[in-house]
Amino acid sequence: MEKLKLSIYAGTLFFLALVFFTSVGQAANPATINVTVTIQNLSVTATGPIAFGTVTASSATVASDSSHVVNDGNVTETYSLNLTNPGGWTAVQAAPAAEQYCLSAMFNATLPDTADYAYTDHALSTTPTPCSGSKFAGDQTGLSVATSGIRYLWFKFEAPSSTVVTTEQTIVVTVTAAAG
Amino acid sequence: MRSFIISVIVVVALTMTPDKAIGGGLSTQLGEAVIENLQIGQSYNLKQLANLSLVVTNTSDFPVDLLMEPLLPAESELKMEASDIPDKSWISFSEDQFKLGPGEKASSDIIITIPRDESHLGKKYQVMIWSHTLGTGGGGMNLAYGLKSRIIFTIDTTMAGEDYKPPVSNASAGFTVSPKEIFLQGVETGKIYDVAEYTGQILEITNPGDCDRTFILESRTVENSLAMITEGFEDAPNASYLKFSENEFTIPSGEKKSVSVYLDFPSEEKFSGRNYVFVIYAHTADEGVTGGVYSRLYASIK
Repeated sequence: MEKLKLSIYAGTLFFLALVFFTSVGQAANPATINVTVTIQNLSVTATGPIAFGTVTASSATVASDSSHVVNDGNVTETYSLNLTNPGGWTAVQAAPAAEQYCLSAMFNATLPDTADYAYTDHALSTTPTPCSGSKFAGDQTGLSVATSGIRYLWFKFEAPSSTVVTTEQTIVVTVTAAAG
Repeated sequence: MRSFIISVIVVVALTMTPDKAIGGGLSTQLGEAVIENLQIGQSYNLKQLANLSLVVTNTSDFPVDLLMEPLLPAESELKMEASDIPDKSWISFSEDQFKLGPGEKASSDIIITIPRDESHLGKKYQVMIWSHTLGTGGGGMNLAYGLKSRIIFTIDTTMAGEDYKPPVSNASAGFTVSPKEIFLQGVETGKIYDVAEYTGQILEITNPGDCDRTFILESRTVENSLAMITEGFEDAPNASYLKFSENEFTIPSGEKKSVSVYLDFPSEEKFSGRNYVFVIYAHTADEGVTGGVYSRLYASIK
């Protein structure tokens, strides 16, 4: 009887050990690792730079040339857009004050009017922001562009209301492609 | 007088009229990768794990400075019910800054380091690897180019023992399958189509590695794969409607192999007028880590 009690006790200990082993999630044989490249050949081309010509303080200018953005990969692509501020100015997504500017971008087949741009949908920021049915959209979008698809990207520059910057400034706009 | 001075200053800042527009760009063979069953408390170099590197080509006619960095995905970029990676510092690179001449390639190892925290067990995370040029000075508005490679990884539901070491494998996810997409229009049910004959596109698998490698070719539905459905198409009703002349073969180092593909929809009215996508899954065999690549076949039924 004592032996039976002992074996039950030992069995309980073994069971508890198993429960403990499982509860900390340790496995002797971890699952096989699978690495799958589900999409290959992502590629984008865009033309630039874009000229704005002469601008004055507090003015808004739509560049008369567009950048041609081409999906030359083998999969559908969605574009993201962002900018890099020049040293002296900061991008805003509203009417710019002193030392601020607003650069907006729109996919459109033809030259848009200045009034076609809206801050919410078209103003660029430093964060790469994916295109959608409305974001950066005109009569074209940067959403789900088919292979070999061409989009025309237009820009509007709103100058600072005032500035003390006297050196040459460069704004860099990055067109980024992702699958999907 | 004051407004005149302001005008002059702004004019100085933005009147640089660039030379005529030129095209520039980037390309990569790594659009999206899914890595399954990683362990917490471990660091994985994808090059060592599956011969998978991030290689980016400067397709511009001019030199560029290139930077690679991890990015949290925007909400619209999250796929496969993955969550944002908890911390971008989980991702590092063997090299992240490059100067590339026209046509030159940048190659970097991607390293995923997962903290030893059991709250991550069974989770699925996503990070975007942003490879982008830095643009140049010179005044006005310049264009830079970028690519976001989507990396999705799952963490094993159980933790390996203390003696676990990340596998180092010769398995290659660096091989290529082409074309990436095959389209068949006007497909009639009840007929067997030789895809190469019908479309002129031949399925080829290339082994760029330095040793012979055995591959397995499978047809899969989207549901039974890691792929996502393509807009305008629905999942293949049955993966077995797509067949291959060979399902397992060995390709010598540096060589390629052509495989015949056959599409065979049974004669049923329910398929009429519908658009289907099949996933073609090529993967390595008999290796500790499975390396695989997807291609897709789209069939529009008459």
